[in-house]
Amino acid sequence: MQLGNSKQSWGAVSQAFHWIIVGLIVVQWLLAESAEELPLGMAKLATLARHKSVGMTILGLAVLRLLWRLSNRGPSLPRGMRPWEKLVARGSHAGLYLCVFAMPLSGWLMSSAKNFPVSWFGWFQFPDLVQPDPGLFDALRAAHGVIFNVLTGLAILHLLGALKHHFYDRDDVLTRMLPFGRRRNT
Amino acid sequence: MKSVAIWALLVVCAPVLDADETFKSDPARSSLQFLFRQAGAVSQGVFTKTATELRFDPTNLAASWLTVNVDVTSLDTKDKDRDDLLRGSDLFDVAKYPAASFRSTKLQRLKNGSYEAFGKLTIRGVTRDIRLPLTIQARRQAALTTLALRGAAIIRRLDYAIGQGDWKSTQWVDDNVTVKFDILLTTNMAPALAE
Repeated sequence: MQLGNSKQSWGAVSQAFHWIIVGLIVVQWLLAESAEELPLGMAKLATLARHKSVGMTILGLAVLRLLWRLSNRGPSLPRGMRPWEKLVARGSHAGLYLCVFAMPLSGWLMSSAKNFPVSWFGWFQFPDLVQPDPGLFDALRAAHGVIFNVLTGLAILHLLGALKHHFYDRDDVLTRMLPFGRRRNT
Repeated sequence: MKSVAIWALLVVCAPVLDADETFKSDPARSSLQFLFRQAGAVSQGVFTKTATELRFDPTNLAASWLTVNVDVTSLDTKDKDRDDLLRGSDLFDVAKYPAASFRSTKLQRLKNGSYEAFGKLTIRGVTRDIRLPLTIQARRQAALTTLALRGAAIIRRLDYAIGQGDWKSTQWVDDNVTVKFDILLTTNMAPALAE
C-alpha cells in the first residue's frame, strides 16, 4: 500500500489517521463514561486527566489529518451516485470533521472555564482559553454532550453508508479505507 | 491616565520611614494565592480572607515583625466542588483547623534591598520553620503611608499533612505548592506622619 492517496484508494497515511482517530474516540467515550461514575477524588482526577490528554491528541491528529486531506486529494465518489446521495455523503463527512474538531475544543474550553487546565500527559500545559466561569462551564458541558450525540449520529450514518456501498451498491467505498481490504473491480 | 497621575505622586521612600509603626493589610488590595499542580497542569486558588500585620522599622529590624492570619475556609479555586473537597478532612480539614498563620521570628535585610522573614508557618495544626523571601516597598502619599509586601515561597503540602488517604500520593497532585502574596498595608497612625 502506498503512503499517499490515489484515485482508486486511500493511502496508508489517510487510513492511519482514520482508524487511529476512530480508536481514540472509543477510548474517549470509555474514559468519559467511567469518569461520570466516579465521585470527585483522585481516581476521577486521573481519569479526566487521561481523557483530556487523549482529547488533545485527537485535536492534534485532526489538524494534521485536515492538512493532509487538503494537500492530498482522495479517491472520488463512485460514479452513478444520485445528487442527493452525493450531498449526504459530502455533508456527513464535513460534519464528522467538524465534530472531531469541536469535541476537543469544547473540552479544552470546559477545562479552562472550570480552572482545571489541560496538560498533555504531564509533559506540558496548554494555555487557558477563557477565564474560570461556572455558568460558562455548564453551557460548555452541555455543548460537549450535544456535539458527542451529533458525532455518534453521523458515525452511525457513516457506517450504514459504508455498508450500503459495500453490500448494496457493491462498490469499493468501504474496502478502499480498509488496510487489508481487497479492491473490487467495479 | 488618572491612575498614572496618582502613581506619579507616590514616592518610594523606605528610608524615610522614621517611626516604628504597625501596618495592617487592606483586604481589598491584598491577595494570597496558591499555585498547585494537578495532573501535570498548574491551577491557582486564593484565600480571600487574610489579615496581615507588619511592624516595620527599617532602622531597627530586631523590633520589626510580620504576622499573617489566614481564614482557610475562604479558599477559592473557582470550582465549588473542588473547594468543598479541599475543605474536607483529607485535605485542609477546615472543621478542625479553620486558621493558618505565619509568625516571623526574625526579619533580615538582604544586600539587594529585599528582605527575608524567618518564622513559623502553621497549617492544619502543623507548625514548621520557614524562610520567606519578600520585598517591602514604602510609598507615602499625602498623609497616608502604605507598604507593599510581595513575595513567594514554595512549601510542601505533605509537610503540613495536607493530603490524607489517596491524597498522600503525589502522582496526580504535586507535593510542592507555590504561595504568592501581594499585600498592601496601611498604618492607622497615618495622620501623625503627615509631612
